Amino acid sequence: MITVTINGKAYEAQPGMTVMQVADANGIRIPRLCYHKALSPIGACRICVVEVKPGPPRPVPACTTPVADKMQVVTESETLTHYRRELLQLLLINHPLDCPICDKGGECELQNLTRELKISQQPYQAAKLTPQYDSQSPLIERYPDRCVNCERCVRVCRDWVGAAALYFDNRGYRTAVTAGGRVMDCEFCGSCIGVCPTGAIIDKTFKYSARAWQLQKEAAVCPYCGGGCHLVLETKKGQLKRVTASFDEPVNGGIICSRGRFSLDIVQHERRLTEPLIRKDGELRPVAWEEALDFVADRIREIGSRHGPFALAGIGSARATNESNYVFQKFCRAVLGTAHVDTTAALDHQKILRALVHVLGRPRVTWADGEGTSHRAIREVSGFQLALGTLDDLDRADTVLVVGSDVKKEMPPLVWRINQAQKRKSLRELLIVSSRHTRFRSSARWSGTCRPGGAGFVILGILKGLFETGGEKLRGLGDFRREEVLRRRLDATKWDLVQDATGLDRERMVFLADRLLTAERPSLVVGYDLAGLGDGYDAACYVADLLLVLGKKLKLHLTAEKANTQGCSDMGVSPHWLPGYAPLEDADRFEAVWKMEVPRDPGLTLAEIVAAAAGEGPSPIRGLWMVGTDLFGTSLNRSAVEAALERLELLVCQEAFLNPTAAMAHVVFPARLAVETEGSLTSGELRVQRQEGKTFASGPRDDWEILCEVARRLGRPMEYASAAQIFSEICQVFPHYDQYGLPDIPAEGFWWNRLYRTKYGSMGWRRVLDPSLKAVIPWLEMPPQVSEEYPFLLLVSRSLFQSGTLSRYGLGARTLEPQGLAWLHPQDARDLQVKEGERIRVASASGSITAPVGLDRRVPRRTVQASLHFQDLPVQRLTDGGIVYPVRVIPTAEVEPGQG
Amino acid sequence: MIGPLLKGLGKTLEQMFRKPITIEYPEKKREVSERFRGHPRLLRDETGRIKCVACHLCETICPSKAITVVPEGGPQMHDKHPREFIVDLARCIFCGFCQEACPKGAIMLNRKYELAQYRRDVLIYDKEKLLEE
Ligand code: SF4
Ligand code: SF4
Ligand code: SF4
Ligand code: SF4
Ligand code: SF4
Ligand code: FES
Repeated sequence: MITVTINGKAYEAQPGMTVMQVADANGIRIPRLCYHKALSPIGACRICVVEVKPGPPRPVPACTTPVADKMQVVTESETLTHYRRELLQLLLINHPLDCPICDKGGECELQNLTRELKISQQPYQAAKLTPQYDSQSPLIERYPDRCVNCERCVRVCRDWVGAAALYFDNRGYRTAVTAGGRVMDCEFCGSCIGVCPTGAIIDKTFKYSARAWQLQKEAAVCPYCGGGCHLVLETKKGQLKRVTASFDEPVNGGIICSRGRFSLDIVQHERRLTEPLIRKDGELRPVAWEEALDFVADRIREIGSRHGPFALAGIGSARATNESNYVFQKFCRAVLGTAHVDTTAALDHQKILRALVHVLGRPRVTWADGEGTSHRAIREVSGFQLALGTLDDLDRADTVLVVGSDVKKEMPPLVWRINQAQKRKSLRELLIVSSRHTRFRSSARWSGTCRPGGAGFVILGILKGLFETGGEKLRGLGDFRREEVLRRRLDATKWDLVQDATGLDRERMVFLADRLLTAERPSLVVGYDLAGLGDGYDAACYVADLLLVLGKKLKLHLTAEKANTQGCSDMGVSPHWLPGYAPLEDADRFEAVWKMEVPRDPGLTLAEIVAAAAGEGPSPIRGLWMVGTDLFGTSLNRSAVEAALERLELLVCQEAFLNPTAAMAHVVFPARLAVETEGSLTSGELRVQRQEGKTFASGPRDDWEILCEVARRLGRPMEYASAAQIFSEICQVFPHYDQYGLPDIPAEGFWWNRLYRTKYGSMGWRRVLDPSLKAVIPWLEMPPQVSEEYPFLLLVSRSLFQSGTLSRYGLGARTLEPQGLAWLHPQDARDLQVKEGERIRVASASGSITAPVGLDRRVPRRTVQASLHFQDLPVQRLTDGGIVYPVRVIPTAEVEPGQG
Repeated sequence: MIGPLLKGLGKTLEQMFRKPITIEYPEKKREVSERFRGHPRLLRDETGRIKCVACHLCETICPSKAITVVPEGGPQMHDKHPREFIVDLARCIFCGFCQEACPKGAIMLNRKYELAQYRRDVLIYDKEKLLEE
């Protein structure tokens, strides 16, 4: 602690802080233009000049001057004001008088500063510059004549987003921000809009639709990916006008991606469902709520009495709130009486969770007994959640290894944090092993290319490397049983095999193992390129084993594709566990709380439900209840899903839009979107956040409300008055959530894997990785190989602009990527003699599709990359629950209209 | 005692020959001063385009919330004008703040004062009406 005197008053400060930071922390306003608290200072504009003693005899910029003990700072004086006015007048030489039409008017830092410094004229003359306006870029417009060259946009894009799409061109008086080409080619996250102090970069979707001061601002948690970003919804007369982010909040620090910023208009999309639909004479017709609810209840009763409750199944949603998912699994288990409940996250994210539960144990709290405090004291906490890291852990990590994840697309906030940590130099080594070539990868200290589908073997190889070379250093890091078995299995796996599967040799694996072992705070990021594999569960077991071996220090970070991917698993939407990952044998405990019977038999998994619905197996599924799920947007084989849905006697969907799955339903209930539903969402870093729920469409109801209505009609009521009541029941059955009541959850949420943070104080309980844990050592399948018949590999990908199939309705996503393409390496395209925009036929063992070709140098050779987001690109015909398939590519000589 | 009576008559007589200060409204209309504040109207520039750029300042300043502006962009990047511009003259208090606030000189109070109507809705003036007046 040092003391700094500002304007005659003494303040405490930390060494290393700048004058600006100390002033800001104490509410002293120093005028500024180029300084932004989220960005490293550059001292470009000099508006923030202050006088310091001891120091040079001339004013110094507050934003770049570090404080020293006993420093005397003066922030206001006649000389300083004079300087500032002169500087600002110089900046205004070429500034247009656009304020009346400039969207920034009213929240413009330049405008405010001009008023603050009482500048009413600009006496200087200079050569007129011809600004290169940009009206052609999608979603963003640029007005270089309004720019003050503060470099904020350049810094945010380079240091946070990692796109480095903007830079300065020319020098001196002619300096101007440029995006390289005529139009911007970037991630369209709009972060540059957010930091720009002027109207030089603006949101085209907002342009000229309202003035800043007319907007009501409300915070919301983003409904797209599992990053849990805080958005600010800005509305005028109830209409959403734009989405921004606040630099004051701790989750995403003011940065959001294109989905959050530009695709939230789905809330007021004209095609949103507002009335229940029932299929009559083959067509879905709008009906009243009562009729639809009664109809569904009757049908369920009928199927239940004729075929038993196990002819029914439910699929929960990674998009719905925790409360809705909790009520949903309770509805399936206790009201419908079936054990078949799962979610599409079972195809990827839940495979990892299953492995973690299996190897590292379920979240468990041991209570100390006999203490007379108001709430029970905790003695011990164990479970896999202790090995999971938060975004803040990533900030502190000195080594980050990414395996099997296209992180930027799956969950961008991880990348932003890593970029920041690299910028701060606290992160020394970023190591990436991937089959894809991405921009993020090129920012890594070291990166290796692994064969598509080889992510599991990479982890296995690292483990093998650890055991071979770790020696003494391994001792004491992890404590578990079956280490010998694991060792033996790894010894028996030959390096040749590992190299065959991954394309990486022993030396590289040993290198990675060594980096993890020598790092003080290593983090491992694992994502969908591992989890999405057909044998993703087995691969994830090795991830969990690695956590056992390096248990004491390695943090695992998972990506989550959807806003509540993590939450719906926490809530027990899985045939493998009850809420809070409780084993099925724990059903008694739930029966006591629910006062209803809970089936004990293991249920079918998603793939099994689909198969059973298609009539396979002894007891077919006849009725399927789905909440916010588009089965046609998953990697399940499309033909199999079609067959299953067609055969169902009853398909009920709770949806916001009539997506292809809902279009096949017998009954569709219009549901609120997650941004509109009051409740909680759990992000990929186990952060439980409160969604206040601002409703945009009238008609739709909360998912849990609909379920409660049906339960009442089925004679097994679940009575909840509010989301808060459901949340407190969740807390009752899953003590890790029991930290706040729903209305009291703080703005930044809470991490459920850090039980000690709040309610239970810092009472001295132990966090343990149970020494009775056992390594699980499954056989890994060799990744799919190309053959003469199928000389290419299909690698299912994700898009940065899309999120599942929900973003199809979003303006940003539709603008940035209207059409799905099959991406090829240009050289492969040349060999095949196809050009960009021509259609190719892609055939796998499961089916075949035609698709327009896109060319990208970053696609690995002999690989087709395509994603599952697009209606006109049914990649699902080629897949069967996994992400890598050998395929054949045949040119069709057809040209896509409007392309080529 | 006749004195005061005569005095009064005299006053009356005097008034009879003086120029009247009232006018015979509505047969005769009064000429109002240059600075008279009638109701707002919108102006066009020399090319005939509406001057207003839909900056919402008048709407924001209006103390009686009589103005509603709905903005719209044009084909050029800098084109901005009101798609709708509504002044509710039943609310307007003729304060002239809008005219003060307007950075474009696009809204001015005219000198019209005859606003009595049997129906309120006639007093809601849209863009066309405001441009005519
Ligand atoms: S950037 Fe600010 S000062 Fe410049 S025209 Fe826009 S509102 Fe006015
Ligand atoms: S939109 Fe995002 S990626 Fe594009 S230039 Fe701006 S900050 Fe960079
Ligand atoms: S465009 Fe905006 S953020 Fe970028 S340098 Fe200019 S004023 Fe600063
Ligand atoms: S999609 Fe993910 S990264 Fe993008 S704004 Fe939403 S939560 Fe943040
Ligand atoms: S203040 Fe002037 S330019 Fe702005 S909206 Fe009103 S009339 Fe139009
Ligand atoms: S704000 Fe300090 S130099 Fe610009």
